[in-house]
Amino acid sequence: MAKGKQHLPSDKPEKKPAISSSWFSAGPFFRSFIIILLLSVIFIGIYSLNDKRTELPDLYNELQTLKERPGDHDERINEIEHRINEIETDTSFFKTLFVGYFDEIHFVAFGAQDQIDKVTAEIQKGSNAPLTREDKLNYKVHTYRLLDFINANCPPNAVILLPPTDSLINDSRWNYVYDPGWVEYFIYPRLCIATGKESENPELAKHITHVLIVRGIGYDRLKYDVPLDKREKVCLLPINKPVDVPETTDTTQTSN
Amino acid sequence: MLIAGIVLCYLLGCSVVMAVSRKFSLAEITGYSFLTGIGMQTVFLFLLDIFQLHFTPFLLISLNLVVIIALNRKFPETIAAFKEKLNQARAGASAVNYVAVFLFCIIAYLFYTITIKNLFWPPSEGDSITSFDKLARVMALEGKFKISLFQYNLQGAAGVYPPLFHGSFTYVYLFGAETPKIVITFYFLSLLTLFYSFVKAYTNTTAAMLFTLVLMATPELYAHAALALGNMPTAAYICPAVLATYLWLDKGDEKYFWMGAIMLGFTGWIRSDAIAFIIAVIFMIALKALQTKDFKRLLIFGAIALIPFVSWLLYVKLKIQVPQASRFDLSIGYNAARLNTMLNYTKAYLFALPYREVHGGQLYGVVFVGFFLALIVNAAIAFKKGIKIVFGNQWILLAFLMVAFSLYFSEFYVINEDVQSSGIASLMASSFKRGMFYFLPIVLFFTATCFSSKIFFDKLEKFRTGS
Repeated sequence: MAKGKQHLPSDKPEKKPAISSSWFSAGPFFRSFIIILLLSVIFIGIYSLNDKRTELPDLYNELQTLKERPGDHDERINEIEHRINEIETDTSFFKTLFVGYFDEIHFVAFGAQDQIDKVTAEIQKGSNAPLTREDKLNYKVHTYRLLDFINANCPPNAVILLPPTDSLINDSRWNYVYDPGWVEYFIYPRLCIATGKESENPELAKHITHVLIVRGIGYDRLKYDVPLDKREKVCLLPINKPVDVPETTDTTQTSN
Repeated sequence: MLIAGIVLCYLLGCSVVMAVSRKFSLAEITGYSFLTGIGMQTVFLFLLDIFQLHFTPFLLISLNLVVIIALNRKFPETIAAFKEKLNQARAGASAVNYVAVFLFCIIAYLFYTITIKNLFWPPSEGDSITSFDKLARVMALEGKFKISLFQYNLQGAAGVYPPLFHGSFTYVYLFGAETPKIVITFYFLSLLTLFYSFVKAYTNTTAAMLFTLVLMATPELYAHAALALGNMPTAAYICPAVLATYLWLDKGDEKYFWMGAIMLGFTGWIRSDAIAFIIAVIFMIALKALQTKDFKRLLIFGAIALIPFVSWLLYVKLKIQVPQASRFDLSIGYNAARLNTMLNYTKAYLFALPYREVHGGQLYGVVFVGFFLALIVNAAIAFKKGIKIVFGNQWILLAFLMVAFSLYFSEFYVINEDVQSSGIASLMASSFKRGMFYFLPIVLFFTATCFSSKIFFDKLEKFRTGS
């Protein structure tokens, strides 16, 4: 096909394409450079519209630290809250169109690797062992150790009665350990059922083997009595009287 | 093993795409291959389940090989087509578009950073833990769709959802993945490459690259490229389903008819609430069929698009048999308070405004505002130059957007709050918000290819090349 296109000497010479076939051609290169420069100015302009937001993570961290620390920090707290409010409410229509882009570029695109390195260092604590899925879940899900404890101390065919929702729903430290749909993900093939929902799943309710006690709630569901002085705040107990000492978790220190 | 699974998925998808036509560009092949390949893998899982065969990598590999071999009877022609494409790409590279390269570098950087974030964290989103990832892990372990958790109602809300999304997780688990989120990266890549090629079909490389960057950088969409949730993958199917169909309607290129139908079929295979888009696309074709009197096409297209959706409905009814109250309350009538709440949220999303806990501007950036601006500018030009010159066949796209949005809005209006265990305000701030992803590529495509944009980018291109 290409051979067929060869021109005879009498043919009109083909009009040269606008773009030179060489890799570097001053005209188009210079014009491209101008467009790139213009685009860069626009992108940097958009980015710097909301650059005050870079202060936010530090401000929020300091605020949280001050609120948790005993002592009189009211003046500094007010100062921080005022600054946060100033940044968060600086929302002209034009600026808010680009806030999302700023957060994404600054905190995700520029910050992703740093955040990963920080989390990795925090989990590894000096060791060089590669992180496992469990390490990462343990970092992200703050009740993971409790759920892991369940797995380690129950047979695969166990059915666990979870603590009642209303006793924990207002305490974010125990987020979702009362939700069977959520807990099941971590404890499969063990099964679980929510307190108060036994009638919705009578077949499963008949086969409950363990009770998960959280904040000392759930002892009344056991078919035997545990002396008050032996009641742990957080533990997993068989529903029928055990032969030996009940299992208790050491998750109270980390999860409480 | 996981790499083998992903390669197999691409090979299968590529075989189907090449069987449809060998004239797709490399970007199109990349995008369609994954979406088709992973969709087909979940169809294989479905068939194995129907025939009560336990899912295993061996069975999947065997099925894949049979289909790949069957589809590649003209293998030398496929190879020749690929060689030709590579030669074309090489020839094109001699005239470097530095602006496009610059934009591509930004896209590549953003893609890299979101990918490392995505692959670092295992799924920890509420919906993924209570449903998608739980279903996928257990399906891979038990080797079937109707897992033991259904017996105790522990499967989560997605238990009755069409299986493409969590099925794709199951597929990578079967091939030894520790976490399934690698497929999220491929869904995102497919969405971007296909969107690029659709815009490129109407404009030039610079414009296509710029608008791909705008789509990718849309804050909420970008965030979802690192989450194990189904909305972005659904958008990855809806984008080619709508735009390939539009390309066929507009340019009459046969290959887009088939790819549009296949992608729409998979749209009904990934999410039931995407039925609004299936109906709207079929409506788009019906409008054209009324003009051309070609109803056979409408029937073929409708059949391909609806078979997966209907098959899953039948499977849920006959096999899964989970007693469930209707998700929709059609007796709702006129409810002013509900409508008002919905309209306020919708206004916030479409016009970049704040409402309660959401801010449309922070979620979707300039996408919807840009669309309305483009619409106004082009309407003004049309006033002078005439509607046909300015809008051409784009009225089909606008009609699609109106129908799809009305249906999508209506779905939420009649949604049963008790069954969803969530109030309408909460649904608007979560589910509806995430469903807005489905419109992003379509409205951006309109903005990129409208009359005024074309003029602007043609001038920019003339300036760049000095012609």
